[in-house]
Amino acid sequence: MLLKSLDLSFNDLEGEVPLHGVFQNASAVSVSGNKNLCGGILELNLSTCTSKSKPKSSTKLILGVTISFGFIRLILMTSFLFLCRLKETKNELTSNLSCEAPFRRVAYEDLRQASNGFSFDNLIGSGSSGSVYKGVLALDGVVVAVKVFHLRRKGAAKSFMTECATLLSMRHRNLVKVLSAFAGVDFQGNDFKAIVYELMINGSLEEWLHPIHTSDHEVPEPRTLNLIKRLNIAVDVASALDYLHNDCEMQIVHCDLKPSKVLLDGDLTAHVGDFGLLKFLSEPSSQSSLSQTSSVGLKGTIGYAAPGTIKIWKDIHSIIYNLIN
Amino acid sequence: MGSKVSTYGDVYSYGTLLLEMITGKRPTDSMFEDGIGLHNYVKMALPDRVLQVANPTLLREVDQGASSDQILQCLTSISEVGVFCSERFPRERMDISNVVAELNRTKANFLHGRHGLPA
Repeated sequence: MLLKSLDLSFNDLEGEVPLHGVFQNASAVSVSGNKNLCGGILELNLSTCTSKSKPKSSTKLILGVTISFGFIRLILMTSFLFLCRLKETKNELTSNLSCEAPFRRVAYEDLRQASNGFSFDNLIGSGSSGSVYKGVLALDGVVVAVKVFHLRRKGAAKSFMTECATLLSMRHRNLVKVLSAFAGVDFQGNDFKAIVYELMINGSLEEWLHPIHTSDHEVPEPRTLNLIKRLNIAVDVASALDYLHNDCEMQIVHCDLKPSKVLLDGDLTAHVGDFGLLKFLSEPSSQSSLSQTSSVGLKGTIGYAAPGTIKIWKDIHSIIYNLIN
Repeated sequence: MGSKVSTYGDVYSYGTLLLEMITGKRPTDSMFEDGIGLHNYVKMALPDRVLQVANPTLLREVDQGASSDQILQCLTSISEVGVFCSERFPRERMDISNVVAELNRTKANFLHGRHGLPA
């Protein structure tokens, strides 16, 4: 099998273009719109590549910095929770950490009781990073959604930390309200991490747009959203994004917006939730400079993630490489 | 090599969500398997054929005091925002602040023409 032409234009690719195989013929290859590509044959008019050892060391540096920041964030988070639990602690210590917010103290037993022992009947959703149970806190009768993180799955602990970090920095009427967080052990001594949210009684936009018809249950009242309700939800979600992108101290990208992450309260006001994949961007300047390279392999959901943001390039590269050789 | 993270990506997802709310079709619907995509499906219907791609539920608003002209105008505005947000090239996408302003304008126009019915 011989590869005759190859169109890689506008994929935001980076790295060195090979010199052999289909890449020998400039008319058979299109690499325009990939400003970070280098090398290749002269006819492709790409810049020459710098030495290969440099990216490696910078990757190490980035990894080191990321780990250090992650560690610092862990310490900050732990101390935050600790401070919140000690109500007697002097106010001057807590004032900088937004402890005036009504975060509740919860124990593992409170969460277990609220969700009826994390029973199947209370399960209202499940994702890659955790399962969500509805429940009522016995202390004050508040109806909550408890997200229990699947700590055995890769990245779940990181998701917990990321979502907890949002506790510290965000508050908006169109974001899901976080009531509490718990990090400790269950009765068996296993690690247990959970976040307690205000329950959105009307479920997710996904359920309204694509209701599941079950034949064995009597049909509940039809859930339809008229034009004005949809328009209100559209404004709510855009306002939440505007807040994350432009009004937060640190610019935040949600990275996985889709109908199942838009939750509706009793008045059908939309609240954007599930921040397991969010990214803090470090440069709070104009949009043009707002991009950074992430080490996460797959970010977002197919269909909703913008072209070029889901990383399948590495696989394509290896397929092409094998074809050529 | 990693994936690019930027606010433009969120705007793309938002545009897709908006088009899904108008058409009732997921971006992964089997009708888009031939490569046309939800974005182009709506883009090709603009500006005159929006009613043909809109979810039929939305046209029932006529019974609630809105004229079909107002519905068409409102659907067209939302679809345009959805299409602009889900453009292939990041820099062609709308800024989210402008989206909020544009949708609030659309909402005000629509409510103004609805014979004084509450939202």
